[in-house]
Amino acid sequence: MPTPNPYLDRVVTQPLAAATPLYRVDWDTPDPVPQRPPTGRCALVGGLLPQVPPCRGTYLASTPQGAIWEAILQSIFPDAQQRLAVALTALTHRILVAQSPIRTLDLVDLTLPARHNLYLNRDPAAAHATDTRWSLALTDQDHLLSQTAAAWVSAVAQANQTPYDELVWTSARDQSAQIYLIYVHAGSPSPLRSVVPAPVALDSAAGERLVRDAAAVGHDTVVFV
Amino acid sequence: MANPRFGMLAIAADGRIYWGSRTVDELVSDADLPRGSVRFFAVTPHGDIGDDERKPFAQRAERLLRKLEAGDSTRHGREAAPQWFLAESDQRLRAIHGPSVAAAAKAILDMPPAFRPAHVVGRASVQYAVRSSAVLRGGIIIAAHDPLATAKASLDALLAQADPPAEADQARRATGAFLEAADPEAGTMRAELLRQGWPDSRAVGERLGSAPGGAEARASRARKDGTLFGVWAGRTHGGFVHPSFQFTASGGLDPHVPELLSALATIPGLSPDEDASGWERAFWLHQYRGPLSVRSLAMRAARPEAVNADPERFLAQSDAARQPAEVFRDDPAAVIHLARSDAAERTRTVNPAAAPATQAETQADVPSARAGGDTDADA
Repeated sequence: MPTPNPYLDRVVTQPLAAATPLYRVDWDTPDPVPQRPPTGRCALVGGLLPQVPPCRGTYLASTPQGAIWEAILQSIFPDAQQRLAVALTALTHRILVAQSPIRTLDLVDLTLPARHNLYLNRDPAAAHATDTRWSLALTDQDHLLSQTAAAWVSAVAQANQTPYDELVWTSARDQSAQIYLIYVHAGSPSPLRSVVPAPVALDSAAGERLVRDAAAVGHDTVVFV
Repeated sequence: MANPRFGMLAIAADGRIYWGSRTVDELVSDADLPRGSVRFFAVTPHGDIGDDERKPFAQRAERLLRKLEAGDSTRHGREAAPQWFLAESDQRLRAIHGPSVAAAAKAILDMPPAFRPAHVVGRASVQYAVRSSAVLRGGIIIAAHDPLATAKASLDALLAQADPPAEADQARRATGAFLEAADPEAGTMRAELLRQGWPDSRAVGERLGSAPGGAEARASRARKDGTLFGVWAGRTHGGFVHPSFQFTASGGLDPHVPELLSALATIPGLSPDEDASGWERAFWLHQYRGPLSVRSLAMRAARPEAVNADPERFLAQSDAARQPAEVFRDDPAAVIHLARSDAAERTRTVNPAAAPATQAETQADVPSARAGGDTDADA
């Protein structure tokens, strides 16, 4: 690599078993803008490293509450009374779906302590600085740093010929949940399929309860406004 | 009864239903209705519409609304002012104007109790009804703005609340009416915001240089022009009040307000037509948002190389979430960017007409398309 890599020295993958239950918040109708550019944490947006083109992906969470935190509550924080003001319109046409991989997927684990496997040989000071960069990338509400980090992972994987299917990290808002980003390469079929339970419309009484339950994980109260 | 009151069923432009009461003076001065709202007034024994009276009243209102929608011949086309009607035994609607509104209301109150709520159909009929005991029954006065479809859907939802949950959910989804009952805390939050003492139209108009006599009109024009943001606090609570974030230290209007209001209007549910009361936008402006923390804004302004070179410096910065209203004065661009990000995230089939523009804007921002949550189902 011509430029020192601020994030990792190698790519190490672990298997995510087929049929692992995962959850995400989707739309109840197909997107009328299917070629919407990728955004979000760790997205491969393109233009950050010359050898890393954009690549679409799908976000999923290990729990229904985690999916709601990531999709609905991610950028909203409680007030002094622990109230989260959530606009009803943010729930309109949103559904919680359950999906699972149709085959074993190779994932790069960015959770701690697994993430240290990516930069084992750095001296303590450099390792600490690397930890800090990852901490910022995986928790801050601005995603450019995480997208840069994801581009570096892709670049190292290409250089080392270590393919992978997805990244996983701990949810910044619900630390009991892991967030998976499964990359979907152009022309490739989705590695996911829908599973039971059936989708739940978030703009319904049942959906309201799900959102409140998710907030309760953080000891917050949702106020629909 | 001193200062008698009419029971009121009010439906806001966004479909929310409110129950209340008004004196004649208040009923008449409520002429400054937010666009898209409907109100029904009737005399009731207690001056309010009691819990057990609400469903029958809503049923009458729903029938009248259907007549309003169908009876274009009784209306005077699309006007800026609200339309007033009197209802007679739920069979006939007559448009009334100006002083006839107060006269009709007072005539209903003056009728013998046995004929209350009494129908009054215009000034001549008021006099006839007072003179004659052969009066019509069940008078309702209606103040209405176009469009009425939202109000109709709200009443349908209210009346459907006794139906099986699946159907109620469908109706609720259409109107959000269930949230009003489910979240009284929203009212608490509104009251807390109003306690901040935002200036009313007269105060704002005078700030903008108007003489007292024309101050309210000046503020009204500014709201219509999209240079001033107002929230409806109710006729007895100052009418429109104006959150403080939009004023400069010297009391003038911040020049970035129009751009902010335009950006907010692209978020589903927050356009002026959908959010006539302004409360949805007020809540958006006073939510605590992570992308507006000092740290997030610093990271957004810096190149990744700078962050990577000195991550501890950025880690040391505050990541406390802040309100758009709090940040706007110092960094309006950040707040406007957040509004556009929210619009991009929430615009889908809800507002497909906006999708192409949203896509273009999103593409232009791809190198900076970072803020917001991992909210896209797809990266």
